[in-house]
Formats: sequence, structure tokens, C-alpha cells
Amino acid sequence: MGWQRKVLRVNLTEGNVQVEPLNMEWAQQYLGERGLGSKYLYENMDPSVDALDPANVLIFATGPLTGTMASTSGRYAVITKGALTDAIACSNSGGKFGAELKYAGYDILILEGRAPEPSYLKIYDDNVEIVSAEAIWGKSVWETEDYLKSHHQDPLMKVASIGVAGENCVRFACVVNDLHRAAGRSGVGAVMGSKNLKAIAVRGTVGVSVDDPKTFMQVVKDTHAKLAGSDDVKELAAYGTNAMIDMMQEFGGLPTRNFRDVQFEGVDKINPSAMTHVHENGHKNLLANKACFGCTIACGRISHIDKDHFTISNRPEYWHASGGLEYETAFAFGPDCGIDDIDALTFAGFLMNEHGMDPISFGGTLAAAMELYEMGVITDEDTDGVALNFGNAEALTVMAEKTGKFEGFGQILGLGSRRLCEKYGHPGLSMTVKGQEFAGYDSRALQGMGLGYATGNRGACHMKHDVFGPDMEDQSGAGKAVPCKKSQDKISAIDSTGLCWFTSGTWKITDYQAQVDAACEGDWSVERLFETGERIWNLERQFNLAAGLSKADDSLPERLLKEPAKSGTAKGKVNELDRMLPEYYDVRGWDADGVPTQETLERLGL
Amino acid sequence: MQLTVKLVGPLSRFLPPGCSNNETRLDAADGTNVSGLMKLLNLPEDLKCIVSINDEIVPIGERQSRSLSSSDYVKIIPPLKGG
Repeated sequence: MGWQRKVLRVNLTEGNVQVEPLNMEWAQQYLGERGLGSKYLYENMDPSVDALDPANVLIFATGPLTGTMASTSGRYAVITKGALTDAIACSNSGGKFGAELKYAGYDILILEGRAPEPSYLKIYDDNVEIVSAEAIWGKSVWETEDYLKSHHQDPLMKVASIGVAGENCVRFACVVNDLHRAAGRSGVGAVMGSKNLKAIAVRGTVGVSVDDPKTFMQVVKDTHAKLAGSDDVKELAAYGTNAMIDMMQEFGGLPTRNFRDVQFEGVDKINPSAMTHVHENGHKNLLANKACFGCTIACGRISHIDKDHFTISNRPEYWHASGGLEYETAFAFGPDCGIDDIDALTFAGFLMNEHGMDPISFGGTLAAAMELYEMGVITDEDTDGVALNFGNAEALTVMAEKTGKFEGFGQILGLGSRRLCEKYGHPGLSMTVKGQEFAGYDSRALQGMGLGYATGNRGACHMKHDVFGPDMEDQSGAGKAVPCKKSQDKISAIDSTGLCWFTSGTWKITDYQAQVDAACEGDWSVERLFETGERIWNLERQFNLAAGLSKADDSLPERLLKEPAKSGTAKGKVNELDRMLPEYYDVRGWDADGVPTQETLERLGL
Repeated sequence: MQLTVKLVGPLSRFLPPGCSNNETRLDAADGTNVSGLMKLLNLPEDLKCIVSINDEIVPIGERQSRSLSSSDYVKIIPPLKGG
């Protein structure tokens, strides 16, 4: 139990829908969500095909705990070959869509081929239809969700969709569910667009069950209580993830102006205090916090924009409340672009959700374009007359809208920073790994974070490893390989449960293990969870090697390796990747070229 | 001696009322070390945090031995985590 034991396979080219039994041998080896979805991806496609080719496969995967009464059990993952990275992509999301897909009876949804015309998928338990999307193609995410709920007269329907950005294969387009939760990274929305698939609308009524209900209820009660009494949870609820912006500023690891600097002079105007500041006209950015399905943390922010602000003063359609600033959005639009206008940042965040784009990658790409503009490489002629200087809030919002609607210079920004910087002859200015833009942690200040970025199977990402503890204690590369590897394995397992990583500040691995063990068949020990995570990590690596990636892709931009941090606790330091990487490969059981040895593969059953 | 201390982000809840910029100045005996300063601030003994003096991180194992001087600017930063 835990699993629904069913896979929904949809061939969009042929218009076929079929239900098949879940491969339970794989479920016991890869658990669910990220792990099991990656296994299905690996076994169902040639990793070397182009990410936008119909032969790429797009998978929506729930975990065995998705939709259960466990706290934060709303997670699902979108797994495919990433349009931004040309590597394996696993982008997970909260909201309510994942639980609804599980309630419809499916662990895994596999989407193959390319629909001959724009379509959406309607899932009502066993009733699955591929429907023409003629009425919604060209519409935003928000318009699409409104239309589908209205058209089907079902306000309880849950929708995951793409905007115009995804339709046009903007490389960092994402899949948005429940209006402002997103499988945001690596361009999974572009892959969905390449398949002519606008949306997935789902209602489920079959529920979920677990292997040992009595034990599960007790374990869930205990883990709920731990979250309720946790200072970490109280801080997440009170401040949201944007609390990080003050910490990174004071630590000296806040990437600023395309990583030229590591501290931002305008941080006080965009931090959590600024979000709760009441202005003379009575306006306050933050209205409330919001939780995903089953979540007892509620880190999400709901904000609105001052009606007098230049972005919306003549646009009443944006006078409503919507998803507010989270740390990564605040960093990417704020310090990285040198902008300290909180309403502009919030509006650009709205646009990301409305049009379905990853704010980290959009912000990173705009920051690179701003540097190129200030160098004179990009000119007003390229930018439709918009001055792309660092600090220009209007440039941020105008370009966010142009990219979302795939207009003018927005089409170039939609390439992502790697392709954009290559186009203009300065590939070194792209702050990416494997083509994916960095999150808001500078790896000159956080050495282990740099190792995690460089070795990330989906490219630069802050959510697939956790070396913060060692990084806070020691700002050299010494001793970072072991905790990096161990945390990657741990997170790979937790990402495969259906639970949210933001519980990890409170829960120990034994808390996840107890919930998995009670929900799922089989004896799930802590050791087995770590081994499962290691198996998943190595499977993802195998996918990438088969896709043509190599040791050369486990790198960092020269700026982080050669230009010392100018200020903060890491002043004078660069990242020591050359020191860490060989040790990491050794700890992983990989050879000097980063290829898993036969012994490692056999040990993991790969 | 007088010390200037900044309590960053959510740690500002431990500041006395009326502080601006999350900073406070407080009197401490000469030779006060980092651990002593944290007691003066009434910070919980098990608080997980980063301490920097003049933008240099003080490892946890050196908090007892690292003495402060009146020109030092101390920051106490909550643990970093993904977000």
C-alpha cells in the first residue's frame, strides 16, 4: 500500500490512453516520485534524444505518502529530459494537484509523443480523455485554470498547466499548478509545450490507503507534534523563505549583479521586514501566508502590490492578491539584477506564475543580459529600446512580460543565460551549471554548496544537497565531499516519498523512515532509505552520461573559481572545486572521469 | 568595554526593545569571550547560529577561547538552509 499500483500511460501522438500495473519491483527499489519517476524515464526513452523531440518522455509522479494524512504530503514531481539543461530534470511542486492525481488512482502519469493539435488531458478517476485545447492555447496559466474549472463546471478540479512561455518552449518554462505553485526548474514546461499539451485537469475520488494504518496514524501524530513545536517551522511561517535574504547578506553569500558582488546594498528594501512594513498610504506588501495540501508549516506568501505603483496603476487586473516573494524570487529579481523595488519584484513574481516561468532562471538570465548590456555587447537595438542597466526595475517587469508572452527581446531571454551568453560571444558570463542558473547562494562563501551545484544531476540547484552545516563552520573545501554525497542520497530518498523538504529543519531521517515504513509494504529502514537515495542518484547520473554529459559538465563558471569574493566572510576566497571534486568522485565510487564503477553499479543493483 | 552586536533576521527577537538596524550596544567585562557574549544576550544555550567577528567566522569550538575587544563588530546569524 501507499502506492496506488497503477500507471497511466498516454501516447499523445496516437491518442492512446492505457492503464498498466505499477512495477512493484521498481517501487521497492526506487520508492516513488523522483526515484520511481526517474526509473520509468530511464526505461522508457533514449536519453540522447533532443529534449524538445516527441521522443522525450514527460512523467508526473506522486510518492507513496502523497495524499496521505502525513504533513506536507502534497508533493509530486515532473521528470523528463530538461529543455534548459539537456540533462535529467526532476522538478517537484506542492499545492493540491499531486494529491488529486493520487486520488484519481495513479502513482505515475507517463506522457509520450506529441499531440497533433493543442490538447489538454482530463482525468476523472478512470475516465481519461485527450481534449482539444483550441479555446485555451495562447492563454495564460491563470486564464487556463479559470477556463477549465468553468467549462467543466467543477471548482474542485485541480489543474497543472503551461502558459504562452511553455507553448513557445521558453527554455525555463515551468508547469504551474493551483495558480501559483510550480514544478519550476529545468524547463519541464517547455517539454510539455513541445508535446502540444496545455494542461492536465484532474479530479480523483478513490482515496489512498497505507500498509499499517494504526502505526501510520500514530507516527503521523508524532511527526505533526514535532512540527507544531518547532522553532524552525515558526520562523518559516512567520518570515517565509525570504528570511534567508538577511542571513545571506550578512554572511556575504548573496549573489549580486550577476555574481560580481556577494552583498547587496538594497537588501533592507526587499527583506521580510519590508514585506510587512506599513506605508504612509496604509499599504503593506504581505497579506497572509498559505499552505499546500496537508501542510502544517505554511511557508507560502500571499501578497499584493501598491495600486499606485507604476507596474499596475493602470492595470486593475493585477490589484488582487497572489503568490508573494519567496527567497529565490527575491534574490533573482533583487540582488542579482541590482533591483530594490519590492513592488516591482512582487509584480515580476506574479508574471512568472501567470505565464509559467522559473523566476530563478529568468532572473539569472536577465542579470547576464544586464551585464552584457552594460558592457555594450547588447544594445538598445537588441532590447526593443529598454535600458537593461542593473537596478532598472522597469526593465525587470517589462522583460518578464515580454518573455512570458514570447515577444521581442523576451524571445532571446527565453533561451536561458547559457544560450544567451553563447549567442553574444561571452559564455563565461552565464552563471549556470549544465545550463541551469544558480540559486541565491554564492559558492565562494559556501564551498560545499559549490560542490553540490557542480555535481547536481539537474544542474545548479540548492535543493538536492545540504552542506549548510559544514559550510557555516569552515569556508574551505576541506571535508565537503562526504556530507555533500550523503545529503544528496538522503534528499533523493526524501524527494521520493511525496513529502516536502522544508520539514527537514525539524524532522530527522528517522521521522521520514517511520512514515514510509508504516505506509509502504516492505521493511524500510534508515539504511535502506540511504541506499535507495544513492541508487536514485546513480541512476540519474547514468541517464546524464547516456545523454552525452561528462566530467566537463561538473564545473562552475570561471567567475566563481577565479574572481575572489569582494566582501563578507569569504572576502578574498574563490571556490575550491578542483580540490573537492576528485574526493567527491572517490566517495561516490566513481572513476576519475566521474563514471560509476562496475562495482558501484552492481552494489546498487544498477 | 562596549560591544556592537547585530542579531540577524529572526534572531532579532532576542534584542532589547528600541533597537534599530537589528543592532544593540552593550557593556561587557574586558576579556569577555563569544560564549560569554551569547549569555549576556540571553540567547538559548542550544541555539544553532553562526557567529562572525568583523566578518570572520568563529568556529563553534573556538567560542570559549575567542575574546572580544571593544572595536569588534559581532554578527550572530541563524543557520543557513535552502529556501
